[in-house]
Amino acid sequence: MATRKKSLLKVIILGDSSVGKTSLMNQYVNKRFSNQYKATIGADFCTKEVVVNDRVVTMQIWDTAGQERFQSLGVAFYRGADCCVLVYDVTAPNSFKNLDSWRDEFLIQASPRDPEHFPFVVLGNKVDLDNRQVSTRRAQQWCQSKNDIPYYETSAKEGINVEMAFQTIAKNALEQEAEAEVINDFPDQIILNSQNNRPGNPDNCQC
Amino acid sequence: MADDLPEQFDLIVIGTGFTESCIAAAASRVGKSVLHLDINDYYGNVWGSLGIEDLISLLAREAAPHSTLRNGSYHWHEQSAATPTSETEEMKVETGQVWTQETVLAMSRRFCIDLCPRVLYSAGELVQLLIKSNICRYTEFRAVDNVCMHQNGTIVSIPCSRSDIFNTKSLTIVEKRLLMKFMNACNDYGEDKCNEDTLAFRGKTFFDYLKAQRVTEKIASCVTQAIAMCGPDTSFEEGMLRTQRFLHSLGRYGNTPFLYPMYGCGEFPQSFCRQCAVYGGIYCLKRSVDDCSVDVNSNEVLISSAGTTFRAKHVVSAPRYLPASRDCVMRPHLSRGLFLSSTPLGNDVLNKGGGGVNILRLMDNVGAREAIFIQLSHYSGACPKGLYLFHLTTPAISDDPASDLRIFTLQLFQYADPEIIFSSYFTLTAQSQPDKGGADNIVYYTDAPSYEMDYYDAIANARHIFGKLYTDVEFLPRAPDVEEIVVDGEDPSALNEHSLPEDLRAQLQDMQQATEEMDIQD
Repeated sequence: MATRKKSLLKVIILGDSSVGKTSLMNQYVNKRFSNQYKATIGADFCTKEVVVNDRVVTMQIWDTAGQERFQSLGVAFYRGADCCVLVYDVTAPNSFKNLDSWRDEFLIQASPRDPEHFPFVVLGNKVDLDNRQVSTRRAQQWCQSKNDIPYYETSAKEGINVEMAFQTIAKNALEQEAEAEVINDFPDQIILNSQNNRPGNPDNCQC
Repeated sequence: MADDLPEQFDLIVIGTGFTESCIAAAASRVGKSVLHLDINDYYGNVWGSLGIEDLISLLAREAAPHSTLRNGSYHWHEQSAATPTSETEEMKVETGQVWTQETVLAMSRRFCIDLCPRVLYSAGELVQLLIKSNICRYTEFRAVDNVCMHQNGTIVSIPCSRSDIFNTKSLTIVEKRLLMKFMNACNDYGEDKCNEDTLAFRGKTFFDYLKAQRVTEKIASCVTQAIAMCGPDTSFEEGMLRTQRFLHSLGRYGNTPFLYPMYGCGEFPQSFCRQCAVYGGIYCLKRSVDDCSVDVNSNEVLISSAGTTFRAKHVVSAPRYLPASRDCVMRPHLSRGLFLSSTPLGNDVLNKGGGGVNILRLMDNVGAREAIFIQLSHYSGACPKGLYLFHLTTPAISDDPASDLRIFTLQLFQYADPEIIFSSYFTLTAQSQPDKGGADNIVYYTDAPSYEMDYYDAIANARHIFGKLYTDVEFLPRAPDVEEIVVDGEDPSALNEHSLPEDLRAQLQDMQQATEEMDIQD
C-alpha cells in the first residue's frame, strides 16, 4: 500500500438483512432498482470510478453476500476497509438498534489502527415508504454520539441522496487512505489473474 | 436463533475447512442450494488462521469433541538478559518496540497464525484453480523471498533463477555449469519422457540419477533438499516430477517459485465460502450439529441443529464434526511447532528490508524424517512489524509434538539464536481410515490436512467428493464479475451465456424466449 499510490478504495456495506444494502449499491453503480427481493444472489462487489478532490479513484464496494444474515461474515470481508457504510431501514426500528452491534463488530474484526477516527457513514434507507418508524432526530443523535458520523436519508428505489451519500463515502475513504499510507506498508503484493499467468517466460523458466 | 431458514437443501456442508469450503463453493456455483454450518465462531477449522489470543485459548482448553487438534501447549519466554547481538540491537532500534507478553497480546488481532501453514507453487493446482474459477479476486499474495537450505552450519538461499545461479557466490563456475545442465535436463525430460538418458533410470531412485549426473555433493544436496524436496528413497520419476513442478513455477511472480497468501492460509476457506455465499449458499457459524440420521423413505439426511431439523440430499462433513463420526479413531498426523521471535532466522541477505518470507526444508541425518519450516515477516500480513512467525510441520510419529520436532528445532536454532518470545506445540489428527465415499453415498467425510507444501491432496479430495455428488458438472467454473451479470430486462446480448450459473442461464433463456414471442406478435 505504501510505496505505490493506492487509488483503490475498499468500501463495505453493513447492516441487517433486507435494509437495502444491495439495492443501494445497485442504484449507485448501475442506476437501477429491482423491487424483487433476492437475498443477494450474485452480488459480490462493484467497482466505480469517482472523482474526489480532483483525483480519480476506483471505489470497490463490497456487499455482504448474505453472510450477515446469521452474523457469519469472516474477518477477510472486513480486512483493509477504507470506509464502512452502516445501513438501516427507517421503517424497521430493530435495524436501527442493531447499528451499534454492527459498528462494534466492524471495529473488532477490522481492527483499524485508529478506531476513534475510522470513517463510517450511516444511511437511513427506504425514506420513500410511508410507515416510517425511526425519526431523523433519533438517528442524528446516535450519529453525533459516535464521533459525528455523517448521516444521510436515502431511497435506493427513488435514487434519493444516493449519489451524494457515496460522494461523502468516497471522500472520507480517501482521507482515511491518505493517513493509512504513512503507516501501512505491504510492497510487492501479487494479484493473480489470467493475464499474468501466461506460461512463464522460457528465459526465466529453464534456469 | 429464531430463523426463517429454508429446511430443505441439496447439500449441507459441516465444517468450514479448506476442503469442505471448496466443495460448498463448487456445489453452489452450479446452482445447488447449500447450507454451510460450523460450530466455531471463525472460518477454517484446522485450516484457519487465528489471532494469538484465540490460538492460546484453543491450545489451553481441552479439545472439544469436534476438534481434531490435540496435545496443545504453549510457553512465554523471558527475554534473555544477555547482551544482545548487534543484529538484534539494530532490529530493536529500528522498530522501537520491546516485545513482551503484554505488548504481543495487545496486538493479538494483527496476527494470522495458520494452524496448517502452506505455500503455493505459483503454477500449481491451487493457483490454477483460483484463476480458473475467478476466486482469485478475493486473495492477494506475497512471493516467498527465499527457498533456503543448510550448508556448512549456516542457512543459505538456494539460487532459483538463471541470474541467481550466475550471481551466487556459494557455487564454483563448474558447479554452476553442472546445475544449469541438470536443470535443463529436467526440463527436457518433461517434453520427452522416453529420452534415452532418462529411460535407464526408471525404477531407480532420484539419488541414483543425481549420482550419475556427476553433480557435486553441494549441488546434489541443493537439489534434493530444496528443489525436488525428496529423500533417499524417492523414486526417479517422483523426483523428476517434483523438480519440474519447481521449475515450471519459476519466473512467474517473484524470485522463487512459491507464493504465500497475504494474511495467512485461512484466507482460502473464506474465499471459497464467499463464493458459495455469492451464489446463494447460506452461512451459519457458531452452530453445532446435534444429530444426523437418514430418512430411509425419502433417502434424505436429517440434520438437527439448535432445535431445527434440516433435510438434504447429501451431507459433506469434516471428520468428527458429525456426532456419528465421533467414534472414528483419530491418530496423530501432523506435529506442529509455532514460535514467535523478535529476530528473523538467518543473516541479512535472507532478511532484506526487515525480514523475509522464507521456507526451509529440514531433514534428519539419515533422511528418514523431514519437516517444513516457514518464516513469516510482517510482509506476509500475518504478524506485526518487528516480529517473526516460525512455523514447523512434520509428519507425527508420536502424541508428543515437541519431541517429534526436537531434532528439527535443534538443527534450526543450533547456529542461529533467535530471540524467541513465545513457543507452542500441537498435534493435528487424521482419521485412521480415510472415508472411502460413504457406503450409503449420502454422507461424505473430507480428509484431514495431509503433509504437503501446497494443496494438491486437499483439492484432489474436494474434486473426488464433488465428482461423487454431481456427475458431469464442471468443478468450479469461472464466476463472472458483477459487471458481466445483467438481470431484470437488460440487453441479454451483453451476456456470455456460458459463463453464467444454471439459474441465471435459465433466467436468460426465459428472457430471450419472451423477446422472441414479442417479435412474433409485432
